[in-house]
Order: sequence, then C-alpha cells, then structure tokens
Amino acid sequence: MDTNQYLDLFLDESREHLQNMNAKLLELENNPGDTAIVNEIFRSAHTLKGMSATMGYESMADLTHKLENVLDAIRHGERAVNEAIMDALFASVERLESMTEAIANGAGDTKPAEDLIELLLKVSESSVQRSEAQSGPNPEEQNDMSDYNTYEMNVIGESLSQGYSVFKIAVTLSESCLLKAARAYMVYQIAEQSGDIIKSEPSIEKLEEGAFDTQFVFTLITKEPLDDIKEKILKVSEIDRVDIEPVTVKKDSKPEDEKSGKAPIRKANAHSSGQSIRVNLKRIDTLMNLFEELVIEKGRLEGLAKQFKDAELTDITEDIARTTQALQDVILNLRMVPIEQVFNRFPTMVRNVSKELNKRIRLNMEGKETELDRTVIDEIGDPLVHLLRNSMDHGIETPEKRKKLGKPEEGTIDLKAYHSGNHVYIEIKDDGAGINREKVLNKAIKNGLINESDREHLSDQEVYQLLFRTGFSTADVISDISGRGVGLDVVKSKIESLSGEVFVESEENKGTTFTIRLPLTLSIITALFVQMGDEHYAIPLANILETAMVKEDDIMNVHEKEVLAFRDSVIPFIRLADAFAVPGERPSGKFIPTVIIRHGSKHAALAVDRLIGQSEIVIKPLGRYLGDVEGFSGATILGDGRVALIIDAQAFIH
Amino acid sequence: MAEKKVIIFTLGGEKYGVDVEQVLSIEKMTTLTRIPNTENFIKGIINIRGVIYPVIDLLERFQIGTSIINEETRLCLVQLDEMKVAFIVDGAEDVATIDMEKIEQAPHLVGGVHAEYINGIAKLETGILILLNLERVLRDDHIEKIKQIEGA
Repeated sequence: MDTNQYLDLFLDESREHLQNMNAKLLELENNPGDTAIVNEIFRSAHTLKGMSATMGYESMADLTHKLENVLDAIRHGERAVNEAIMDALFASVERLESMTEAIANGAGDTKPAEDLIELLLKVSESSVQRSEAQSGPNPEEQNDMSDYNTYEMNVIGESLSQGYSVFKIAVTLSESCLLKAARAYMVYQIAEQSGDIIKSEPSIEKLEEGAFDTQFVFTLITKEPLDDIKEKILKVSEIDRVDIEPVTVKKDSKPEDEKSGKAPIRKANAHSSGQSIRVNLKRIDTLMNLFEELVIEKGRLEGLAKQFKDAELTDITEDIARTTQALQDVILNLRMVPIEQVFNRFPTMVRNVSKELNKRIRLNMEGKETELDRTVIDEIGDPLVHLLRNSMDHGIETPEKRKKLGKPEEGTIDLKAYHSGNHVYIEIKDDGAGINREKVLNKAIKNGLINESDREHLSDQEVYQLLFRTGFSTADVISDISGRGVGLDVVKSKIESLSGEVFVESEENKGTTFTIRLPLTLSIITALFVQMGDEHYAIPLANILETAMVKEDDIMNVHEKEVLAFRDSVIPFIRLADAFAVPGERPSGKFIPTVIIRHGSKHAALAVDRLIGQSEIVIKPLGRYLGDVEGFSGATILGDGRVALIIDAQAFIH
Repeated sequence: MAEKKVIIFTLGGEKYGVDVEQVLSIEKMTTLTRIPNTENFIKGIINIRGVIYPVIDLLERFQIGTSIINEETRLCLVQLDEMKVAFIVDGAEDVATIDMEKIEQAPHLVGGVHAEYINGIAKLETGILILLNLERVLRDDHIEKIKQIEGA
C-alpha cells in the first residue's frame, strides 16, 4: 500500500506514544510494583510495533517487538523491575525516538538496533519461563475497560443494559496449526451466528492474512450463555483452548490490580479529556491569515463609521467589533498548545544528565497544562534545555558536597509554568549553590566584559545579567553539559526574539531561579502610533515605559550624542526623524513628544513629531526578500490599507 | 518544439519578459511606505490583499536610472520560491509565447542591463525582449550584502 500519505500521521502518533512511554517509564521507576503502568507502556509499545510494521520500518518494529516481550514479562510478574531493566527500557525508547526522527528527516529507519535487542534479551533472559505462555490472556487484563475506546464502551454499556452479555473471548490455536487464517475465519463465522463482534485483536484483516501468532482475542455481544459459545468454538479443529471472560462496565475505573493491591484510577483516554480532532497546522494558519484580514477590514469599517456618523452604521460596526473580538479569542485559542509537549522530554533528559554528572537530581514539574502559542512552543524547547542543563551543571552540587552543607543529597529542580496577565511565566528553580557574585565578577573582569572599577557599584541584578553576556562561562571545568562556548547569551537572544525576557534571582547556597516571561500571543499586539513628517510608525506597547513631553533645554550632549536624564540614570535621546532620515522640517516648539522605551532593564528616549494613539495591530512579516531589517520587527496594515512599520525597541538599546 | 509563456512589460523604453509561472499579478500602484536605511532600489513596502510586498525599482537595481512613478505606473508581482516582490513597471502589455530555440544568448549589455541578470533575448516583431533571470535579480549581491551585515 502507499504509505506516504500516512507518514505525517505515523510520525505524530509515534512521537505521542514515545512521549507517553517515557513519562510512564519514569512513573514506573518510582512505583516498580504498579502493573497498571506497565500495561500502559505495553499498549503504547504494541501500537508502535503495529504502526511501524505497517509502514515497513522493520528495524523499528523489531526493536518494539523485543521491548514488548520484556514488558510482557514484567506485567506478568515474571520479571521484577530493576535498574538494569529500566536502563534498557529507557535506552530502547530513546533509540526509537531517534529512529522516528530519522524517518521524519527522510533517512528511513536506519540500521537495526542489534545492540539494544541484545541488551533487552539479556535483561529478560534470567526471567522464569512463562508457565502460562499459551494460557490466554492474563486474568488481570480481563475486564480492563481501557482496552476499549469510548465508542466501544458505549456500545458495551448499551448492550448490557438491554440484557445482552458481552464476552471477551481469547482463542488459542494449537502450535501445529497450518491454516491459521482459515481457523480464525471459522471461529468468527460461528461467533457471528451467535451475536456481533465489536472488537478484534489483531484486526480481522490481519487474521485473514494469518498475520498473528497463535492467539487472537475478540469481543462478542450475544444473548447466548458463555458455555454454549465455548463449546461451539471448540468444535473447530486445531484449537488448543478458549478462554472467555464476561465484560462489565465500571465507571472510570478498572478492576483492582491483584498483584500490587493498588491501582490508581485512570480514565480510559488518558491523553485528553473531551473529544478532539487533528487539524493540519496549515489550515489553522490560513484561518489566522483570514482573520487578520478581517481585523484590518473591521478597522476600515470603523473609520467609515466615524466619518459618516450614521447611527445604524455605527451600531453594526460595534457589533462586528464585538464578534471579531470573540472570534479572535477562539482563533488564538486554537493556536494554543499545552507546554506539556516541551516539558515531557525533560524528565528523561534530567535522568540521563544526572547520571553523567554523578549527581542526584529530582525534577518537579508543575503547570504542564499551561498553554502557549504554537510558534512559541516550537522555539522555547532549546532555551529551556539550556537553562536546565545549566542548573544541573552549575547549580546543583555533588551529593558529597551537599551532605557537607547539610542539604539533602538529592538536589531538586522545580520547573513551573503559569499564566499571569497577558504573559506566560516559566520558572526554573534549583536548590543548588547559587550564583557567586565574586566569581562572576572575576570572570567578567578577566574576559574584559567589565572594568575592575565596576566591581563595587554593580548591583546583584547587574552582576547576574553578566551571565547572559556573550563570551561568559563560569564553570571552572568545561564539561560536556554546558559551558561549551555557546552560553546563556544564546538563551537570552532566543527568548528576546520571542519578545520575552529572562530574569535571575539567586541566593548563595540556597539556589538560583531563572524566570522567563513570554507574551501570550505573538501576532496581535497593542501598539502606539507615532508620526514623523507624513510617515506613521507603530511602537509595541510592551516596549513602552511612558510617554513624555521633553523640554529642548533638558537634552544634553555627551560624546556628541544626545542624552536625557531619566529617573536616576542618563539614557540615549534619539530623534527618530533623523535616525530614519524622514524628509521635511521638524515642527518647532519648546517641547518634544517623546516615547520612553525599554528593553530588558535598559531605556532609551525616542523623539517623534506627534503621538497619535494606541490601537490593536496585526504583525505582518516583512517577507523573505527583505529578511531582517535593522530597526523594525515587522509591519502592520492600517485601516486605509497603507502599511506602517513596527519599531523594534531592541535596535535602539545596546 | 519547446515553448515558453512570458509576461511582457515595458520599463525605461525596453521590453522585459518574465516567465508567466513566476508572475502573480499586475497591480495598480498604491501608497508606498518607505523603509528607512535600506538600499536605494527598494522603494518601500506595499499592501496587496493583506500581503506585504517590497517594491523594487529595476532601473535602480540595474544602475541605469530611476523609474518615474505616475498614474500609469504598474506593479508586476513576482514570486521566486518563498520570496514575493513587486517590480515597478511602466506598463504591462501582454503574454507572449516564445519558441525556446529562438532565445539567443544575451550580449554583454542589453539596453544597459548586465548580461548576468538576463536569461537571454528573444526577437519579437516589435523589437527585442529581455528575458530576466529572477534568481540573479533577487538573490545576487543584495542578499550577499545582507549576509555580510549579519555576519559582521
């Protein structure tokens, strides 16, 4: 079959399953006895195996198959979870992830993972021979409603309430059976005479191809008693045994796990509450583009309404404005993705890195459900990885050192995401060594970032900000983890490119907290319009501290550059009309309309001819041809169809 | 016999041809927004149905003059890969089908335009047609300059 059209779906689902497996493996590590978790991992592995085999990725299918075997042994209690097994499982999932990415990059599923297959075999080798290998499904899984999807559960519930019985029937063919497909077909014929088959594992298509081992399981809705059905099926030759279990519906819970004695309540669809559909991102982008058009057209209509002062026109314009606002909320919501996607890969990473560093680190994550714009989600992963690695490497001390300091040997990193106002905050907090002011200062002086004379008067905040300067690394020993030259300066510029900011707080021996602040959405913002000559420009409100009327006499000259005393400091005074070479004369007057902008902790004053007013604007990219234009972050379309450039505050603050 | 369809436009007295596949549309000139501190040949940006296009003066691009913008001025919107730009043209005439075999190698200069920006010339009944090489016109040194600035 032509599998290409399914490739995207395959990749999406594989990533989802692998992420789930990773998360569940971490859970399992903390609760080694919980077979419910193993079951869940097993199911993901099973699906993955099926999918990769269908798509023709043999190496991937092979590895998942072996993985499945080990998991199977664990869930049947034949193998206890230990560190060697966990390592092998983690390593396998990691390899599967890289195989998936290789497929995504068009490289195919590379070479077979023989090393891992061997490892998996080794860890499962000492396991007891499966005593009940052919004995049909383990009783533990019998009534496991999470095997059924919502639709199937509804059907089962409905049938039961109408007096039907629902049986889960496991048929095992004898080892010597040659015509497996034919036998399966005969069993299904018989079953369908007695009732309706609602689910089959493997699928009927697979059964017809004979693509199964010796066992298949199906769910039958019937009015006939259990024993009659069993007897009928056993009449088909070459059948080893038939196990039938009645299926009952229990709300939101699954039967007590007999082995561990505790089974957390799990919803059948652990991934999402409510129904959802998968939509291609391109379609959402198209929707967004159309909506942006609408916002612009709305602006035009508002302009006309003002001009004509017609009551009816004003009325309808206001209605449209309200509906547009509501629509905007909905559409922006569509683009929002929980940060979970990014967070999910961190536990494994922290686990691996702490092993590498011989440190003991626990990662607590909070606010995984916090939603961010899709564009931000795609970009925020790398900076977060970098900050986490920084905390693990430079923050958390070795267990020995921590013990000496009277701290718990295990270090803690809290990763927290939350909304506040129009922003999303992500915090990375460690309980490590904190930032050593003297060490940072020494390093900065040595690297020529500051002068010896700066040592005393720099505030702690200013010292911490030095960490983000290009060419800075505090690690005494350059390790493999961070301090590879690309430092926190990269993190800072990445976050600033997302219109965000990074803050640092630290206390020696108590720990360090990095806080990232990001705007909720990127494409629609509020901006102040200013005018120079005939030209209009927009300045994002997020970058504006205040507006002021500056007296010409208050402007001073320092090193042939104009500056302005503002609060306790001296800030650059930039006449935008000159900076942009705007044609025409400047209006004369004692006071100059000025916008004080900020970027990070720095400020600058931008002098304009006239302040116009603020308005919601849609940011449009300047396009590939122009690329990045110095001084501007994009453009926006005005109500009359003209274009105004959006001023990039960063360009005026160095 | 291989044929090629081109859009013909006039500019500074010459006729230019661009592959019909690369032309998005011909538009009337509307209000330009100047971009401070950019190359002279980038006259500004313009909004066409919600998309922002940089407007390029080919005469300045080729360093053979400056286009005069008036009532008759049109914009020829072209697209090359992901790049969308608008060329200032004096007028767009029509579509012509050109026999590929009759396309001749451009001499060193045609109407002042360097051969490097030209794919070839075709002889029409009404004169010669300069077939533009968009790849060179749009990428070439302009892009290189930006790269240098970024790298610096």
